[in-house]
This record gives sequence, C-alpha cells and structure tokens, in this order.
Amino acid sequence: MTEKELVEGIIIYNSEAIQYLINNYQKNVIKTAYYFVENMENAEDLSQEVFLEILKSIKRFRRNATLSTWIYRITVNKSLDHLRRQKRRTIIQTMESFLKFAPDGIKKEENRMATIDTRNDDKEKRRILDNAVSSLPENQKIAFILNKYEGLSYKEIAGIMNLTLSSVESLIHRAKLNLQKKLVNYFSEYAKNNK
Amino acid sequence: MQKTTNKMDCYFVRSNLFSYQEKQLPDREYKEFNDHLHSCKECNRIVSEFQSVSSFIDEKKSVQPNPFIQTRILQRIAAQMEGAGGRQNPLFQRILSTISVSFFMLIAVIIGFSIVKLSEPRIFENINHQNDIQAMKSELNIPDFIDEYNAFFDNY
Repeated sequence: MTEKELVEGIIIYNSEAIQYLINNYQKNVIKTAYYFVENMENAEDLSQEVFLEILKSIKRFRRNATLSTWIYRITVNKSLDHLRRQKRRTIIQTMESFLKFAPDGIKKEENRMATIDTRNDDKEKRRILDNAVSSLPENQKIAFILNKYEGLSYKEIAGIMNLTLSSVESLIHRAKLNLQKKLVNYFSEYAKNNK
Repeated sequence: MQKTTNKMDCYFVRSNLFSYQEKQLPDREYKEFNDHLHSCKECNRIVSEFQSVSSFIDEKKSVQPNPFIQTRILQRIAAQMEGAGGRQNPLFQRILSTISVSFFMLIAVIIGFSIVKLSEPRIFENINHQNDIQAMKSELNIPDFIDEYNAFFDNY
C-alpha cells in the first residue's frame, strides 16, 4: 500500500488501511513513547492515544512531510504532554511529603539520593542514566532520544522537530555535553562517598 | 620516562566521552585519549563507568512491547468509532431534537409574555383608581393630598 493510498484509506476509516497503519507503525510509536516516559505500560497506553489522534487528525495531514515524520511528531507531543502531567503530580506529591515530614523528611530524602546501593549497582546506573536524560532541556532531550535511542538521522529529526539540520546538530551536541557533565559529576561523587 | 597526568588532558577526556565511545575522534586524539587512560587512574575509572552506564541505552533499545498491544489498539479504535458513530444520531432524531428545543423555547416565550400581560392591567387599574379618587375629592371638596403636602412643606 502506498502512503497516498494509506492516508486516503484512513480518512474513510477503511479497516484494511487502519490495520496496515497499526501493523507498520505501532512498534515505533510504542518504543519512542517508552524512551520518553520510561515505563512500558504508560507507553502502550500512550500509543493508543497516538493512533486515535492520527485517525482524528488525518485530514489535517499535509503531504509536505512523510507520514512517518508526522506520526513521530504526534508521538513526541503526546509523550511530552504525559511527562508534564506527571511532573505536576510529582510536585504536588513532593509538597505533600514535605508538609508531612519536614524538616527531617528533607534530610532523609537527601540521604536516600546520595546513598548508592552497591547491591543493585546496575539498577542504580539505569536510574542515573534515566534521570540524566530526563533532566535535559526539552528540545535537547527530544533530539538526543530520537538520535541515540530511536536511531534517527539528523535530517529525520530536523523534519520531526521542524528545525534546521544545524539546529539539530547543535541540540544533540549540547545534550551530550550536559549528559557527560552530569554523569562525570555523579561518578566523582560516588568515588568520594565510597573512599 | 614516567608519564604524568595532565589536568588539561583530564578535562579533554571528560568532555569527549561520547566522541570517544562513538569513535568520532580524529586518529591522533583517539591515540592520545587512550594514552591518557593508561596513565590516569581516575579518568580510566570514569570512562569505564560511563561506558557501563551508556550500555543501558542499548539495553533499553532492545525492550519489546507487549505482542498483544495491537489488539488493544484496534479495540480502542473500534470503541471510539462506535461511540462517535452513536453520537451522530440519524437525521430524524436530529430534526426531532431541534423541534423539541424550539417548542420549549416557544413555551418559555409564551409564559414570559403572559407574565408581562398579567402585570399590565394593574397600571391601568391604578390610573382608573386615581381618576375615581379625584372625582370623589372634587365632589366632597377635599383638597388633593399633594397640594396639602406641598403647602405643609412650603410653610415649614
């Protein structure tokens, strides 16, 4: 099925076209969402939202970009919306914890963050990596994840993010510098705490 | 001759971890990077830790979604389309709902009009009532209360 036939099929809710769409794109959608939200269950839920959005907005799809680029764009936007909602919930929960346990609670929390559980070194390293990537500025995070995790080229990322190639290069370069800095700081602290 | 660790080299190493890992450094710099790792225990440890942490990127890439997720997506889409289809009522029902709304609006207008109309006669009644009072006062030679009232305050 060509892209044109697929788009026209989706517009008229042709079941064959919808099936084809899901068969060919669901894995990429779920994995991309997973790289952002770091939880497979949430990523699978988000993928449903993405496909519903595709069906809803397909008439607005302009053929100046490929369908794949457009779908990635929707996936990234939905993932970021999810992260923003999650962040708001976390802020509220943190404030509630603070009110419950302050000031001792804060100290306990700081100690928990500083302590490295050597029995679960791998788990800790995964957490450190995820935290470092999550803490990147939004555009750097998007560009880094699409490049390093999803394996997209700079050109493809530029299409998805609606940026120039040089902007994407700059974003990824800065993301790497930021990540290096965070990880090196973490490793240095780790060594200091475990001397 | 013993090689000494150079702080500049350490800075370069710690700023180019990704480039080293992805083999994007020029050959000369790549060699110098390796030479530095042989001589600097701390940088060696950091590079080793960095490679260990960044290997989890590859691990994450290999995670596979639930194989039955496709069924769930299709079910969700079908449910959504059913719901949307249900909401689009047949033409007859749409016409009927329009007529019902119009009918109730008409009733409301009629009720409102009736309320206004019921209150209208009072004004006329008042006027008629006042005329009767005037007539009575003239007959009985009773001055108008207003004249008395004004006179009272004029004198006061």
